[in-house]
Amino acid sequence: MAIVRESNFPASLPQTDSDVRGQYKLNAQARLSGAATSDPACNPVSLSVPSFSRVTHISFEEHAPARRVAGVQVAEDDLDW
Amino acid sequence: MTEAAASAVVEKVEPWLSQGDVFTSVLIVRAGVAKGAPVAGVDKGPALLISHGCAIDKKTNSGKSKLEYLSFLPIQDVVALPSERAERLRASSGNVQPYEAMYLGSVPEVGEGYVTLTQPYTLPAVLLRTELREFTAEETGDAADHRIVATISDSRAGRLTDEALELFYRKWTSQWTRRDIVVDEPDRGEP
Repeated sequence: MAIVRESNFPASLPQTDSDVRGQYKLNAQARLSGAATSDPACNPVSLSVPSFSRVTHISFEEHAPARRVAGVQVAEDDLDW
Repeated sequence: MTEAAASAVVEKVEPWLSQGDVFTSVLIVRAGVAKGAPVAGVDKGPALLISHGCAIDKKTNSGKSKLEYLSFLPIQDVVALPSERAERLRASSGNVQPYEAMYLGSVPEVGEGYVTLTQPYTLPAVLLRTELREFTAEETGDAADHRIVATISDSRAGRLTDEALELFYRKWTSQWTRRDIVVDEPDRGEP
């Protein structure tokens, strides 16, 4: 079960008394994320769904294949900074 | 209905913390929006430890642990995905693409899972009350060594195989650099 707390962040996002506009916005964000529906599990900004059950959009259409390069194993990093 | 592929998490967990350890229940830090306002949340769920073993076991010159933080990826439910996407993810098992997601198969005590490489988060190591403990050469399979163990909240159920970790490295570099790095063998002896 998700434990969701109101944070101390300023409530700077657009709001309406009924929050209808806010819901439209959340639905639009869910659609843009590639989710099939806009229910809470698919909504990337909703914390109402347990982490394991969240639906995340995965891009299978990679138009920019990774460039294959040779590399070497790096030495252990002992530098204090 | 498609069966979940055999899990890449097939090795039993070691007594010490290792990259690729699967926790069945650990804190997951999340941010979102509720009623138009930003909210922060903590959740408990399965997650994959992604901190490198060298960073986990790093010590001071006097032999004290330097470990402050551990980084994780939340493990998510394949079955919750739309069926077409779930099928494509299962079919990608063992492939570098998609870069941003890695299919884990049926994870012990968790279910059929995957991780999204774009969602790392970090916890203070003190939450697991980590401490260095001495292990013999017989126990490590290498030299005798001091390694980090979790003394509380150790919910690990398995560990990625070496093969699965190699795939994770390729996905990680591809996702974040768009370079697929092939590491030269150290004993190749080429100029």
